Amino acid sequence: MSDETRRRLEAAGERPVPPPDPGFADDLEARLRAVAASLPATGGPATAPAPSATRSGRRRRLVPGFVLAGALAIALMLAGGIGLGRPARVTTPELTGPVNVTVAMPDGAVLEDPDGMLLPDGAVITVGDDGSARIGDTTLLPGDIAVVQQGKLQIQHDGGLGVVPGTATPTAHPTPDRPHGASPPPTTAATRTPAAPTPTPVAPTPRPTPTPTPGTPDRTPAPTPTPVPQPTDTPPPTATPAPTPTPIPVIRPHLRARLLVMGPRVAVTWTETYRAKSYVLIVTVARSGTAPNPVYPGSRVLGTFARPPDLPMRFRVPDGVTELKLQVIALRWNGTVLRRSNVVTIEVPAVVE
Amino acid sequence: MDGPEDAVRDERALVELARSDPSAFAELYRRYLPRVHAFAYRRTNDPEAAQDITSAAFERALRNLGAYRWQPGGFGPWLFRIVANELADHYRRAGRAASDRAAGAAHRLVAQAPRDPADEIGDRDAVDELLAAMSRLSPRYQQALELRYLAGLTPDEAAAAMGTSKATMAVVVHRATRALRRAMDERNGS
Repeated sequence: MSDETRRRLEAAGERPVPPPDPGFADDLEARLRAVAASLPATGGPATAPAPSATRSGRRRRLVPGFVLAGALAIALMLAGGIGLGRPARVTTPELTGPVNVTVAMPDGAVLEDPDGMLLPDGAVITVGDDGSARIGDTTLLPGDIAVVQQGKLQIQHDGGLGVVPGTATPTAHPTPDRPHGASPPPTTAATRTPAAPTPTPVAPTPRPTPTPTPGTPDRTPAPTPTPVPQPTDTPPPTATPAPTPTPIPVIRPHLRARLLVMGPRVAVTWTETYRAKSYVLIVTVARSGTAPNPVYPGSRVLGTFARPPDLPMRFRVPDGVTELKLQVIALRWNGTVLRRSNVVTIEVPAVVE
Repeated sequence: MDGPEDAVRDERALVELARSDPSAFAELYRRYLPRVHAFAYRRTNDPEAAQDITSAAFERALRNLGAYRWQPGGFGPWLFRIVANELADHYRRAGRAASDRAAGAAHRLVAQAPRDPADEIGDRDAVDELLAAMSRLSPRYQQALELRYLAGLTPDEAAAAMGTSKATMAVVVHRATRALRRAMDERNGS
């Protein structure tokens, strides 16, 4: 009687299963190393999880067709060879308040106005006409091209040399769980709003004169020290008990995406999520039939974000793609998965010329 | 013939070193990753859940390594106990018998997961049924069956992971097997 059950159990335990995906294994190892490195030092939040670290080429076989404008931009800039300003130190550079800005990723993807994005090494940020953006204390103006290299920002200002301040502004993520300590959820929601994401760059960054003098920032940028300061200390337990946004914290990120005819492009945004410290936007595509369901880790990462974009960010659909599936993964401060959003499927109609 | 003893000594030294050296933990991780992942996969039948559980288990092991005390069974049983706990959390969060989930996951397309070698319809259905019924047992019975049959552990290691003696483990497994049998019979309407 139970012999049959035992046999089935043994069979279940002996059945062959697929090995762990090498990309997943590498990513997890990198994450564990990061956690291990942070543990002795009070195990603090340190930088945002670095899912983009040590991407040893595992993305290659996914989605080959994204636009390579970023690589071209880099080539042009290096070929021009002039006017690279002194690099600024920016910890976990975060793009804030982009207007008419494209970010070309190292893998070739080009994102438009990806507000809140954590910029990986090799990302090229290009500001178009009448555009602007902020990265830490640095404001980018129309015509600026910035490249992230080893966590530092190199900027080429249109028409002149770039002088970049040396202030480091850790994009302070609201402190991690401190569970139920002083502050309920508001850290992520309430405290961010004051951050002046409004891109109006008018005040800061006087156009640099061609003095190559390093250091001594000519432009005392950033009127507001944007990043969220000490969130845990601030929240007044007494005042306004219920955080203004919604009394009920959003547990699961809700992803919204739609196809824009021009391009074609996809516009994406999602809701902020309780206790999430960063977000990873992943995508799968198909050039015929159905796109596979996104998997994390595993699927292609379009970008990592410190927060959902205030306005929908956009990216161009590669040629030939007939269907995409998108998902947002909310991560804890240590990089582990907190919540997964709904999967949004976008069908791309064929273009008839 | 002191090979196994050397291996135990080596692992013990590695564990001690791993408390302070991330590279040493990375070595432990690489050694146990295939087995841990296989355990999670066999239990959930879901590549995505298997990855999540694997990640969570290793991270928890890393964070608690400072409190770990070397046991005669070695590092493995302790680690697999963590995996079993993560599985329990997983199903608790799921909040339901895993039958539908397991059945759906078995046929879900995944971007990168290689094809499951046991992906014949008959085998898949039998596995799904077993896993679904297992999820309806008490957490203790589930853990006992998981550690004994799905984790790839020896009976001694499974008992060590469960934190019981071998004799007690045998009794628990026996009872759990009976309970599983009943659960499957109920599911089949007999």
